[in-house]
Amino acid sequence: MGPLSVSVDRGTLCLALNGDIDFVNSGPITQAIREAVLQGRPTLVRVDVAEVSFLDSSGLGALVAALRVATDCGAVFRVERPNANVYGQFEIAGLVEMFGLADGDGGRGCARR
Amino acid sequence: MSVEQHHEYRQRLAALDETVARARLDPEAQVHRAAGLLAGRVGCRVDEAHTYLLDRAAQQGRPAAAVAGDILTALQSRPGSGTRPLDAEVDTALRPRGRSPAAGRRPPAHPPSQAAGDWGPLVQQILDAMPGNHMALSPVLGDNAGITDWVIVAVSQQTADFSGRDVAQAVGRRITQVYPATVDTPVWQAWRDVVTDGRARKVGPFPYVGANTRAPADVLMTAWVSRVGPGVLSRWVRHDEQTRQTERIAQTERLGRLGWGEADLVTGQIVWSDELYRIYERDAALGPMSSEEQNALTVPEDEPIRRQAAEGFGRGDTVDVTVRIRVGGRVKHVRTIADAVRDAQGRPVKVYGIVQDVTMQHTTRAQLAEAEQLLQQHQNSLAAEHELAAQLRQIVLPVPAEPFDLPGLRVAVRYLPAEEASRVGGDWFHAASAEDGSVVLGIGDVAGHGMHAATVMAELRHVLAGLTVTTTTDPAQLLWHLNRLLYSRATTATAAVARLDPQSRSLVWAQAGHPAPLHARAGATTELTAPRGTLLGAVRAACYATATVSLAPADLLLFYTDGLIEHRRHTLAEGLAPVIATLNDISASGSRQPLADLLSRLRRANPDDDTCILAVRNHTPEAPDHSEGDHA
Repeated sequence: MGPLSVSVDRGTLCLALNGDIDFVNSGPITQAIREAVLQGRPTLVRVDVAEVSFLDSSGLGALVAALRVATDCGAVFRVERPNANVYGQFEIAGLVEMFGLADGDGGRGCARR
Repeated sequence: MSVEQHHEYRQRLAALDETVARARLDPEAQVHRAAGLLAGRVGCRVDEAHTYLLDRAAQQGRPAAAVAGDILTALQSRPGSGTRPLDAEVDTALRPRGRSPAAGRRPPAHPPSQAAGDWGPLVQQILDAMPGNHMALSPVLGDNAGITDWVIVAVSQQTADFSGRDVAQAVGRRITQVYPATVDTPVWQAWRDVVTDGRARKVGPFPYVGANTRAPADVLMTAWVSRVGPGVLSRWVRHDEQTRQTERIAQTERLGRLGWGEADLVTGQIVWSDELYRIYERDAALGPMSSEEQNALTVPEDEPIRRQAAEGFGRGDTVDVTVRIRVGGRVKHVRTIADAVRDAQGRPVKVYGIVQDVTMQHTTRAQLAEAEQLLQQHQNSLAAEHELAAQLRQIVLPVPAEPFDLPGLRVAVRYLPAEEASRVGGDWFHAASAEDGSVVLGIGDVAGHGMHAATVMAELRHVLAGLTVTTTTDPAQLLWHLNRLLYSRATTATAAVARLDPQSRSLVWAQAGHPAPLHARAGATTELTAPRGTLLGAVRAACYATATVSLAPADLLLFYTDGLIEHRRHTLAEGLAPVIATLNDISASGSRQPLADLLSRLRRANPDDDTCILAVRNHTPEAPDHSEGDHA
């Protein structure tokens, strides 16, 4: 399984990232998310990061790039289910609100089908 | 299925086995295939089966491929043929942690029953020559002359195989020990009745719940019982037998993308298995292709290979050849292993072939090679890029070797490039007096590595320096401008910026997604509470708040980039702990050169990342201290 899986469910683009997201794979991931958003034209983009073990600045950059492309397309962008460490990184980066995590529900993951 | 058909069927299977054994792949692929087959058989995930295989190999101290080979041989040999590796391996596979079911259940040795008399060996001789499940039984009489049990007098090879025992092990045993589930079934009753009235009977189909763990939980059986000598002869058929065999073969074929075919050169009849139709994408209703039709599919480039193999086959060799065929508009890699039954003159009478679609293997291999090549190119270009990035960094951001003074502060900087040259990135610092008499300090980290990061770093740093001269020294406003710049570059970066008023000793600072500076005073270190601020370049209209801290004489402040503390297997707090401990130590020590001590003692946590450290010490104007410069 690659670090990114993508599924579309009626206007919602569900992305799931897993493993370490870092300078090694952030480029292709950014590109793949971008294409998925531009092709799917979703109204909601949900990124499940429950399986992400580590993010470096490039990995964070990939999420920001996803935020930007989703926002540019008029979609709502949400990052869901970060582990404590990853959440801590979002906090430091000041991205908790931007990632739709401020309401404190921790995000419910994409529905498994 | 008639006896004859059954026999042919088994022959075909045997041929299949042999050729499959020959079709063994390279060791790694073999382990993968064994894991796949095992997973299919056991109903677990392939990776679990894989792990199990490796475990077993380790236990046995043998190469994984050897164990995989055994399992492949075992799983692919025909069921019921009595090959012990099949039974042993599959049993072990089915219950990897348990004891061997056969060993656990085996009853103690039982002396051959007197009731067997002399007719046992004779019946055994007959049964040895007969296909099917047969058993000759002799009644065991209880105290009141009623039949309480049966002793196995003779048993056919196939039955013995099925129960996992050989003939010698079964003969002489009691039914209640060997097949306790039989007690009080319709067949048990029929044995009694036959002994009583001598009339042969058919029983069933009746459900039989096997106590043997290898048998399915519930099997339908039909039994025929007739009187022989002083006992009975019982024959039975498992109604799922043929289905089981067929399913197993189909599964093997499907998993291995393996089809088989045979051609009878005497009758001209050709038979294909289902998978072979799938490989050739041919409607089974059309029947098998002739060998001419098959050969015509070979791509022209591979035609010489095919022809050479065909010539070898003519000389009596076994064929093992992989050629590309064009089927359904696509090219497939197909491996064919063919062997023949030959007559006394060596002329082939019947040809058996195993055909395997190895396109995936070839594609994967080709893709791997391609990826490797790309990686190599990538690395070459990275190496060149690093050279440039390092040069650029040297021009843009010369790191002072010694601590230096600014109004009210002594400043020391350390830059630790990533160990791997290609990962040298976009860490930067800024420490300079501004026009308004304040001192502006900054540190930052551009996401990513290499030329792009280095270029953005250079830009950020120049813009910051320019802004402090022309526009503002307010940290929040400076970050607001830097955010606009980064947003337009579609790049993210983190930064912390501070302004010290040398007169009031008050330090105002702001941050954009950056770790807060550490503040050490007299042996106690705290992480400054960060004001709100988003990563630079994430959103267009980011706003930054500021916080203020008053510096006392000899206070130490440490700005750093996350390479110092970030490590992928540690939490940030775990990474921070040793840094805080070092700061505590040094600020408590009263060292005359605390900055030099600090920089020499700090070790970055993450060798993958570059790290920048900016340490400042509050100068006490009352007692100017020049010792630092002398020692660092």
